[in-house]
Amino acid sequence: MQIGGTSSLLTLKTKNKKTLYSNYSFVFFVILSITLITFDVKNIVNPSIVRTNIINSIFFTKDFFSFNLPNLDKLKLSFISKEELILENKYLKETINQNNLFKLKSKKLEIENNILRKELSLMPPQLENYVLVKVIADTQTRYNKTIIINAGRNLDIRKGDAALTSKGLIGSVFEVYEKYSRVLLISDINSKIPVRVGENNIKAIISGNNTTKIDLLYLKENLSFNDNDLVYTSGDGGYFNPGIPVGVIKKENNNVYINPLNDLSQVQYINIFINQFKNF
Amino acid sequence: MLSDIKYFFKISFPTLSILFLIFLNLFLSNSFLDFGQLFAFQAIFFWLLYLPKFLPLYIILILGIIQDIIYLSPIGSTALIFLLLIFLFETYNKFFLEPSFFELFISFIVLFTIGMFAFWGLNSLINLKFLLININFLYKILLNLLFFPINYFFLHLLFKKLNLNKKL
Repeated sequence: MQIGGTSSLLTLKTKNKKTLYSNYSFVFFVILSITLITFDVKNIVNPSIVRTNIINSIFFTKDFFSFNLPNLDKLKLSFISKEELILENKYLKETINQNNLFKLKSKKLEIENNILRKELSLMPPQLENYVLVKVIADTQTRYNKTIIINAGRNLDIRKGDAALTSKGLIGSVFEVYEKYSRVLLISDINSKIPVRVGENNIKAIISGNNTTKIDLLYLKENLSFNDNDLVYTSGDGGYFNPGIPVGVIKKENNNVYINPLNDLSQVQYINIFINQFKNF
Repeated sequence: MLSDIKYFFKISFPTLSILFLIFLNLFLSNSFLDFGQLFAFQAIFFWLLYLPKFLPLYIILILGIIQDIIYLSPIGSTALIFLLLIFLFETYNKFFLEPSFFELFISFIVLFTIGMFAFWGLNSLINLKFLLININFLYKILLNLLFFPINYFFLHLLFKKLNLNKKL
């Protein structure tokens, strides 16, 4: 196909035909791509500086446009009717009451937990510190399961920090940029997390496989699990605090897998657990 | 001065439109409209037909690398698939003289499907295991095929409005 040919929407007429790209340049770029893949897969060159700069520029551009374009959500808010406001107010009041109740319950559990901890002579973990962040880009593909969040070195986030919601673990921080970080989800093929399963505290490693089902690896033979047995982090290796819920056991045709407690494709807000149990 | 800006805008328009599709996909992917990593091929296909000289191979390589950085794929993998598809496009180009839109659509379907499977094959090779092909994989192919005529229409409209077919 060549430029200069007459064209309409439905037909494309060409005057002459010649090769678009020379064979030499084509072969050169194919070899260059294969070399880059090899370098990246084998970690021969660390491309983190390039990645950081590109990710920063992309999200800077996005922020620039989203702050400068008219905010449709704000515009919509100004048209909310009085009736909707009353309903919303009622709902918010109920939520506050419920949260107060949960707060009281959790306080009671915390006191009870501290007493039991002392009884067991366990060392308490380091100061727990959460940062609530927003997922700004869902970069999950069929081959990688990662998301990008709107906090990075500026909020003291470090590589390896646990990412979780109120339901349970969703992954860990994998790359940290200045104002953004990338979280590797537990469903990613490269995610391997030491866990314990059920009431019997059976040790295992969970591994993602890029689907919604998570594999359970390195189990002793003849172990049996029940459906809906809870799987939680063991804390082995020092990366995660022990006891963070991850998912529940599911059985299907004699195969055992884990269903994550969170819907990993719909995560919007997450907590990053900083200054966690890293004592190695 | 103004004519210089206009000139640079025109010659970079194909690249800008591909970049736009990459960003659109990135920021739409939280919703059900996740087109996958080969979404940008829709624009590449269009510009290969109408303005191939403004889409040199190094631009394809750079755009592929940007995609890989965003999606954490091995750097160079998307570019390699784009190059494979361009090679196939060239081969196809030699066989057809004056393709109608329907023929173009069919060739896009064939090329895009080959691209999706090639990408799956490449990722399976990199991970040294066969990755699963599920319904989501087919959904992404279908979604891209459904949106191709819309993209084609808008790109053609811009192509005409901006007089990109005139010699620069």
